[in-house]
Amino acid sequence: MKLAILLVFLTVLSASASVYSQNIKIDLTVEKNTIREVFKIIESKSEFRFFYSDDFRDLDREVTFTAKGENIDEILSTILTESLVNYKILENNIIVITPFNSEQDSKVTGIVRDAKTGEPLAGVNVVIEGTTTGTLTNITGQYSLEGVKSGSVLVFSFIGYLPQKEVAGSRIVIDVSLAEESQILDEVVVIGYGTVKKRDLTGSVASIQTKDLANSVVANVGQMIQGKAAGVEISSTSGGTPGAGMDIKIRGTTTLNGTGPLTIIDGMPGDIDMVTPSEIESIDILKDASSAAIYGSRGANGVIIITTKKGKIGAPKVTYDSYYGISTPGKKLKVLNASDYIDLLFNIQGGTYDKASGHWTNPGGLPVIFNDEAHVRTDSVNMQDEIFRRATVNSQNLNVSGGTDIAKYRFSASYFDQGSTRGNYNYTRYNFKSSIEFKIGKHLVIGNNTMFRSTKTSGRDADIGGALRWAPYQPVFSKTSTNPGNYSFITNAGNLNDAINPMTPLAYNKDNGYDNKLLMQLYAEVSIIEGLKFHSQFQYEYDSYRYLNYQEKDYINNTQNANYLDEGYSVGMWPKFENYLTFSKAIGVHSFTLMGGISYEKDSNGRSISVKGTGYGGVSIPIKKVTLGGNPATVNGSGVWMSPTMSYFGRLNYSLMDRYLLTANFRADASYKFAPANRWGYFPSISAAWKIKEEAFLRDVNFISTLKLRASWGKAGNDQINEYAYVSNVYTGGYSGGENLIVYPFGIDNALLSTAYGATVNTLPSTKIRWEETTTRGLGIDAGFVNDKLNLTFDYYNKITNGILVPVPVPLSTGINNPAIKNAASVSNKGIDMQISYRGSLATGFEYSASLVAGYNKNNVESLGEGQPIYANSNGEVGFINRTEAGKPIGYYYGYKTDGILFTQVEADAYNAKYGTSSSAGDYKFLDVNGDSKISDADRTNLGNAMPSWTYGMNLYFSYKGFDLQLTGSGVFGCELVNYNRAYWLEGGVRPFNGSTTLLNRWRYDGDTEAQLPGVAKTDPNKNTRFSNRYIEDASYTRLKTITLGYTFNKKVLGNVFQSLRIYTTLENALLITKYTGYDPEVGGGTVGRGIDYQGIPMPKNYLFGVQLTF
Amino acid sequence: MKNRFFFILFALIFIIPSCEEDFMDIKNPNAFDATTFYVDATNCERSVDAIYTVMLHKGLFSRDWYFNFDLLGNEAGPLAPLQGPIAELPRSVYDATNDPLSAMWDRLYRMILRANYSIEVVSKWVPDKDADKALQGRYIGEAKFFLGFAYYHLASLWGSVPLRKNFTETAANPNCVRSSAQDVFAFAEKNLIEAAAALPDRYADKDNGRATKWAAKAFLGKLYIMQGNWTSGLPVFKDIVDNGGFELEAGVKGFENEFLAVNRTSKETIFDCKFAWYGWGNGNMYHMFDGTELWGGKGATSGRAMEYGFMDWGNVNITSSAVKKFKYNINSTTGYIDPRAGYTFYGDGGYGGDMNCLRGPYPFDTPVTDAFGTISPAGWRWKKYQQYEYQFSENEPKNGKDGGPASEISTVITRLADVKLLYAECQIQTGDLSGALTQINEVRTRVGAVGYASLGDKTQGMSILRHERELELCGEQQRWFDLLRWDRNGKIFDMAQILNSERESQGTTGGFTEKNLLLPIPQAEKDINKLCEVPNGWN
Repeated sequence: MKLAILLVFLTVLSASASVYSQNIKIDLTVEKNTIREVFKIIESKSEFRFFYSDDFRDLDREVTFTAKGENIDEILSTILTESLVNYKILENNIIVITPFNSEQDSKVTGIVRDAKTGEPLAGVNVVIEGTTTGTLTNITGQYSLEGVKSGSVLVFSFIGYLPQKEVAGSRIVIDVSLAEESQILDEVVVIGYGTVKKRDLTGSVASIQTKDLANSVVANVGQMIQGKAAGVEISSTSGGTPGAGMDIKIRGTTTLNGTGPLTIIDGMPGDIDMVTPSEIESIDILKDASSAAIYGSRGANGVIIITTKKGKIGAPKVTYDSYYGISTPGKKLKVLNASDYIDLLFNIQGGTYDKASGHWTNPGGLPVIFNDEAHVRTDSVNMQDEIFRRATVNSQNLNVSGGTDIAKYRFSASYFDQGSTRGNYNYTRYNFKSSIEFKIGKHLVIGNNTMFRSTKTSGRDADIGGALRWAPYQPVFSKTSTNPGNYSFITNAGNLNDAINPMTPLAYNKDNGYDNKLLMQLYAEVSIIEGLKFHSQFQYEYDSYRYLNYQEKDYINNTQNANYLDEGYSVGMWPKFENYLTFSKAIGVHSFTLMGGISYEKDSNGRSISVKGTGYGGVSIPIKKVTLGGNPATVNGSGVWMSPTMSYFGRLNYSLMDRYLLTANFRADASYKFAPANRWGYFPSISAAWKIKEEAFLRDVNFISTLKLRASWGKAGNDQINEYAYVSNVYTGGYSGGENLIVYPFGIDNALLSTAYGATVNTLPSTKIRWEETTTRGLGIDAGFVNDKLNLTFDYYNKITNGILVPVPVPLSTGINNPAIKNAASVSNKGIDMQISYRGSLATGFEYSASLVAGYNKNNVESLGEGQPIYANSNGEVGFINRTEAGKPIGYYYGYKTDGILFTQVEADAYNAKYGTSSSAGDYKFLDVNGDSKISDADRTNLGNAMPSWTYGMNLYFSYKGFDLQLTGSGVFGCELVNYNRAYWLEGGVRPFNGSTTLLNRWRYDGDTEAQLPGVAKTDPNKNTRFSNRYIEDASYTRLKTITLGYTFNKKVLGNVFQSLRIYTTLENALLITKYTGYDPEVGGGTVGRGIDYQGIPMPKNYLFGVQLTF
Repeated sequence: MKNRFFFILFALIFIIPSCEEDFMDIKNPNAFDATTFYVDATNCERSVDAIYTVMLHKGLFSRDWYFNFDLLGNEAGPLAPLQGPIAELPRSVYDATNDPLSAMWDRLYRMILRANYSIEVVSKWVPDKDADKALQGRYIGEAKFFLGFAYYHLASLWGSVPLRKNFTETAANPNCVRSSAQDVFAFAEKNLIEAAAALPDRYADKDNGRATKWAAKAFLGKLYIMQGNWTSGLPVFKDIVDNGGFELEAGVKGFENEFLAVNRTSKETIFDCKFAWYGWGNGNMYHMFDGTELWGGKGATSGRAMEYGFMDWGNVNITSSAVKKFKYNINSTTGYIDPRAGYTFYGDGGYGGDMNCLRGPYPFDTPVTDAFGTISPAGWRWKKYQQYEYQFSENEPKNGKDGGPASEISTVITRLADVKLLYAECQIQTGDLSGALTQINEVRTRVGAVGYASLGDKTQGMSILRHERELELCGEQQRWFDLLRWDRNGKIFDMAQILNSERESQGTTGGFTEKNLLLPIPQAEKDINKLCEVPNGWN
């Protein structure tokens, strides 16, 4: 309804007449100045620019006059009355000065080139301004235009380039070099339902243009952004696993639910991994609420807007881009050799240390295998060497694009394939995309984008945990093994170590996943009247996923597991429909754009089902159907989802004298996740900017080319919680209410038929929940120096998120095993983003650019409604790890502090006497943090957190005579990780698992003052393994992500076949600088339970070779 | 101009209709709504059945319960493979973070939640048929039985604990103070009395395994005597013995069958936890590691056979202290060997253990090679609840492998022999020594053991009773409760002294101190429930 009013408003406004800036009143006092000088004075006081030939001697004539509140026409006619020249005021405030009597038609020819590369540009529109007379450049960039009057202006325009105007004058050959739209401040930034020029931006938006990305090799969009946008923290969710997504956090962790930003692809929400990197034209990241509020409901975590490449006017252009490479495993951890492992095992089992030999004795009572020490002390394998491998990366892209002024097109196809360096996992992806746009008449543009992505994953990543704790005396294969394929195994009973041989699943488990996703967009844009546009867009996203996993043979140790075939299907569809009206108008010094619209998604839904068959006998399974198993096939799970959305939105952009800018957004969103009374959320925002450089006092300060101040305030929302939390649901077992799994075998026999099925409760309904709201205040400054060669952007922000929906854990004694959801927390993030970049060149042709982005963020939980800390990562071995509470960062590490080792029993006795503990020699001293002379759970304290204080990235680019060198790096600073691998598995010392070589420094005997780790024993009465700072490590790192060296061949060498050819080589993940001792400090994911590196995966090093070819 | 109006109209047509927002109201397609689900007998019964299922959870009878009380009560001892927090139990070095103990607390409260929830939803049901009205009463009775059952155990083991009396209150106030043990016992008593009044004596075959009136009474009696109130316990136990219709299954075979899969239909069992294996297609044998209702699928087996089995994981043995009790002096006979020894443990050593199983003589004359390599069993190992002698026979071909985890032997929670001995205890405490002698001798003569000529005085009578319970109920998780009861109520026996001296005689340290009379309040409860105060950090 509100929108209908807006429409009427817009329509009324459109009735007023057109006004040009000729009517701007100018004050001018001139005393004995040349006309030339007068022109300069006028230029300095207004937007007008004069074009004239230096040959006009008449302009050196001195004039004296005074103008008060006169328009330009009046002034010029006064000063040029007696002159030999004529003048003409063109649109866009250009004034052309021509000599009298020279208006005769002539033919103008010339060639249009790219200003940077010197390549001819085909399809450039050349028009005589103010007329419909024009032509296009041909394939060699040449044009020829008849009927050009002297003094008329030729306008050269081409998509992606800045338009250029040339005064014909008396020239008959006009060669032009068009500059790409690379003057940073004239870049267009996509802000959601519209664009603005970067120089008119009022909010905080990080914009990454295709030219910044063109030479980089990346597997996904997340990697493209990593290290390129200030305040955007990006980490890999699973190390180097091919095809894995990236965890993206914009300006800190805003909420405890769904911290990922919203992704918009060509105007509508979509899957960030839908677009292949080579098809991306630009990425704009809306960082503050003032800009993201236009996407109110899901904008609280920021918005990533992806604009894909479209066809450009010109002859068909074919580009082929290909690279191939080798992926090699990253770091390996140092583990004990067999003899040291046996010592550890004997030690844990109660053997005694023999100082003379440096070994422990067999305590007796162990499985028989340990009677033959010579055998078990002999190294057979380091499983890490077995599970890691070399793999290949292969990427192929081909696209064709072109167009006329009526139709533009672009088609692309790409193939990507990468193997994991661990196990036999492999990822393959195909992308197809087509974009077509038609201009129909003067008022209508319609277009279509179609994207299709097909991925296949196969194989498995090997189990690192099993590999690390494997008994090193046991080889991968054993002739006496009863397992298939003679894969050896170890068991608790036989070896006191139950690690699963990580190689057996690789041999007998075949996992395959297939995902096909289609994204179709249709859009129409209608120019209704001058300045008023209607935009309508429909999008249909369809996803179909299936997996087919089977286990050919049973393999787990001694236990008989049936072979199986497990398959599942899911489909999802997301139809979205959006309409909005935009109205732009300039009235004198005021100009504004109003936009209003509606968006809804009515029938988004999906279904899934998975089925499993077991007991196929000895047959080979792959092609069998699931019901051929010996047992009845079972449904493992099924699910249905629906996700309707509905929104109204509007925006006002207002500009006064092109100097004072204001943007106001409003959005109303409904979420089905809340009860009807709490369903709607309202998200307003306002931001303003002042272009100081435009003020008179700075206009002549030449070294400052840009200076702008920005301020903003806005609200955005979040509803990324589980659905139906407000409803009282019946629980029948399973993770999400699938098949009824609550059974009890009543009756006199034990048949399943006589089994009762239960139904009960396992969560409390949260009826009062409502939208989370993030309010951001921000201040920013943009500055450019020396013709914008040096650019600086600096932003300060203060974000507070209120009403965060948190699972408030309920005590064990409620019997409820799921926490209750409440709007119970608020979190603040304060920080700064900064970006500094410099582009330069030397006369010798050496070009270079460097940029550094950095973001500082401080996260703090302001309140936690009920004052109950939220614990996460409870673990039987080490206890809770993370805690979230008011006054601290989200999910900080909460545990004990160690205070060295009790080297002797005498020390232990003294410690025990003081603290009432019952520690022994070789145990940790834990610190009495609260000073109550007891060591208790009250001594747990803040041990750090996973959220980096600083995230940064740097990019360096050099080019010289065809060679280019590019380096990209990124890193974080000021964060910690829990190296959980050490906690129980590698250094726990409670179970005889193989462990880290750091265990060689464990306490060995009374008085062992060299000890750095406590002694080991299978019982741990002192709880040396409890969660303490012993597992916490500094996780700051700097990674040199890519080094690329390329060479672009000279046109002359290429001849006529190719337009351009570049070859390059890239080293990915070249260097990692960190103190962290685990595999890799880049551990993504998680909010309240963040920062636990269970079995982080080392990033592979990739050696790539590529070629880029255009013809 | 006409065209332009057309465009505006076009825009309005697309925008206005979408103002309807009814499509935002969607029902959960993946679950039923509780407010519309419990409207018939079938679905109401489901709320009750869900309570029984908790018995299959980790923390209770599929895993932990047997470890906890066999190890705490020094009937089972640790072997090399026993590791982690379970290994802390026999050494009394467990604390508030001990997982098997916390899991037990967690699952007893889960049982209470489901019982309270069931009472709430079943009470709201308005049945229209008389048969349904009767069912409604029975369902509420079953739920009340579990309230009594769970609170009896919580108050006995932890003393003062949070008291959750109904679901609405739990939902409104998740944080809760600890109520005195006395109040908790009183609430349990009320519920067991009401359950006994509402529940039937017996069920039809298909409902075999549900709580009966007698099960409620058995725990009512146990509740009284745990508080030292033998006078109130006496008539309750008498009633069960005289009127319950239970029988001691005849002979040693009857005793033996009580711990084999055939015990599902035993006439002696008063209350038990049923187990069944439905095959890999339906569930996972390892559901006992907290996978019940989750990844474990329809898992309903006990891990005891595999965890205790000497051919299997071999985590524990039977302690020498427990074994040596089977050789004793009775009347004028010295060195009498109790016939129950051969059905309780393997390995003789002069104490009557079984020296044969289907593999051959124990220890095997020729070493047996199993999947792990060669293991020579040594010393005494558990036989009760193990199925080695039956696993290889035609009667038990289900798993085809040694002691798979899918033990289908029901865990007997209380049986007539237990109740008769408790009845005898009440009689001794109230001065009826001859009545007690009858009960004790009936238990003994069933297995062919010599009867006692006399119980002597009250003190001697209690010693005989204690010994008899240690023989009859060895490995049935009763001893810890017996010792607690006897220690707390007038120190009839000193628990610390008994456990510490036994463990020292076994070559391990005792470590049992006064604080161990109560289990520690779980750390996870203290961390989250800010109203749960534990000033001394233990209990």
